[in-house]
Amino acid sequence: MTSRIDKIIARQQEKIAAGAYYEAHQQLRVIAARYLKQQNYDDAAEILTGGAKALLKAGPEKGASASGGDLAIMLVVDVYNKAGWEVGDDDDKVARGRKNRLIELLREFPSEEVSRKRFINEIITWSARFGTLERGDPDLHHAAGSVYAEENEPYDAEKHLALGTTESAETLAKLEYEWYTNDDLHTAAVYASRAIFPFLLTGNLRSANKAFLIFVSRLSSNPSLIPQSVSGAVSDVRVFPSLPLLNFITLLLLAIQRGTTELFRELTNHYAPYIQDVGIWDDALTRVAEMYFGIRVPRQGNPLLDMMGSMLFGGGQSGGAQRTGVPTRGSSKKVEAPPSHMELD
Amino acid sequence: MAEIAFTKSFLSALDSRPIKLQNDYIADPQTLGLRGPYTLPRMPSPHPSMPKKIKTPMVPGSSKSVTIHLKSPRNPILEFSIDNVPLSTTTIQDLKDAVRERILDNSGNVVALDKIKILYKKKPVAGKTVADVLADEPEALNGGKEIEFGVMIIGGANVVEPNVSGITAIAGTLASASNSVPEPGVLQTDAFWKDLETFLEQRINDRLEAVRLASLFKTTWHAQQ
Repeated sequence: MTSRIDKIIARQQEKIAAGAYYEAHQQLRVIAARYLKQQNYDDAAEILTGGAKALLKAGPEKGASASGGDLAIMLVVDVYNKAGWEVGDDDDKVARGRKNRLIELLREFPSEEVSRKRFINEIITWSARFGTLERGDPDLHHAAGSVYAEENEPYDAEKHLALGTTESAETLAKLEYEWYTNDDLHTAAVYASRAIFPFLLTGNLRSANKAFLIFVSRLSSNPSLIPQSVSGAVSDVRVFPSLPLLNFITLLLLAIQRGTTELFRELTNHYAPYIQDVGIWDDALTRVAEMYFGIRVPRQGNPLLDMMGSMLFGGGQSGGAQRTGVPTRGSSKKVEAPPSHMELD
Repeated sequence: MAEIAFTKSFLSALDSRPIKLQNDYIADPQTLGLRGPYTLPRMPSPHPSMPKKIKTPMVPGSSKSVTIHLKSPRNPILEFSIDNVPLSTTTIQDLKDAVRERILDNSGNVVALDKIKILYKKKPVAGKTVADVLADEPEALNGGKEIEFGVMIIGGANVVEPNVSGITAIAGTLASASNSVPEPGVLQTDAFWKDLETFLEQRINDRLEAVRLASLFKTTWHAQQ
């Protein structure tokens, strides 16, 4: 059986090599559909994967990569979902192979191929449906985020890396740092914050701290910025005299571990004028205050902002979203989920 | 110096409070019930957008891969290579699996995965995939290179004896064939390698693995010629 599948794929690959993209695309669809009808999902997957790879590699000429994208999407929608393949965990070799196949396919997409976005959405949706996490599988998010990071697409990368693996913190920190090198020296904290707030607001202190460490260590290699060490009874920090907002993040990360309201208020009051200048932190800080410091800020009625908020965040901000609290050890404080917004692109 | 003064006074207030969350705290994603990411708004206008990257076009069919050498200097001494390893999808777990297939612990049982440690440049690897481990080495990431990983087996183990498994038996025969030099005749025919592939497929019941192993044997043999 297997060698028959290999022959089918080889024959179609020859067609693709000869430039008969459309013909190969149609035939592959028909053959795969036949196997799907017999619920022979493994063979259907082999055929679609082999065909999709060959077409994606052929590039944009005469719609070859678009055809490849179509087969890749068919693989997820009609094979993975219909077969009900579980995402599984790392100990499950078969499941791991299936997940890796999706990651390999993702990497075959040329960056300009428009169907890639839909493919990414489909694999995340599949992993949310057949995995343990509603937000989607971390490995797939990391793979998607890394692809965007390699192409210098920070906004798309952020959305996926924020939900990725422990490695995602490093990928995101390096990307934001790279972006920062195009801007003025004093803007460091804004770029650092782009790698930190997303992790803080998914309740992931570990990745937030890791991302910050990596960003700051790159920053410290800049000879015109000389950090100074300041030691308290327990904590040691590096202070950049010319970068107040970066110091703000340093102290915020420490304050979050204590979760004390007064510390947060003192910190935000002290840095208020700088924070205002940044302009894009207000909402994030409100959420940090609520999540880690138990401060609920009643929303002031700014109709325009409310409207924007409900458009962007699915109406979650006005209190309609479900809030599931996680008791943190030894305290009554809750780490709460920010309002959900599933839109990934 | 206002920054230093403020930091000092803030730290003294901070350090008097107990730590409620460790710095590596992760809220349980199940209970957090989060469905999407939170990201900051787009950068306002004076900030530059990130320069677009022109992707260097890859030669079709050259998805980036490397040859990986796995080497355990002692307890047991073990050394083998895996060819054509795709960088971005091969996980450290895959490497551990490959090691596990070749060893048994002192009482003859399969070794638990967490007893197998993979090292890179003498340090335990951090990261999930080979690409993660090599993230700081752009040259290695371009593929086509040979990368060496160290292997450490906690509690030690024994390399599987040649007659325990068909795979190693064949490997042993091949190794002695190439060590005792002449008589390469049959080895130069494609038919021999095809036979080997079929044999492997029957024995281990996994076509992909059989193809991979057969090509591994073939390239190793070629390399030693």
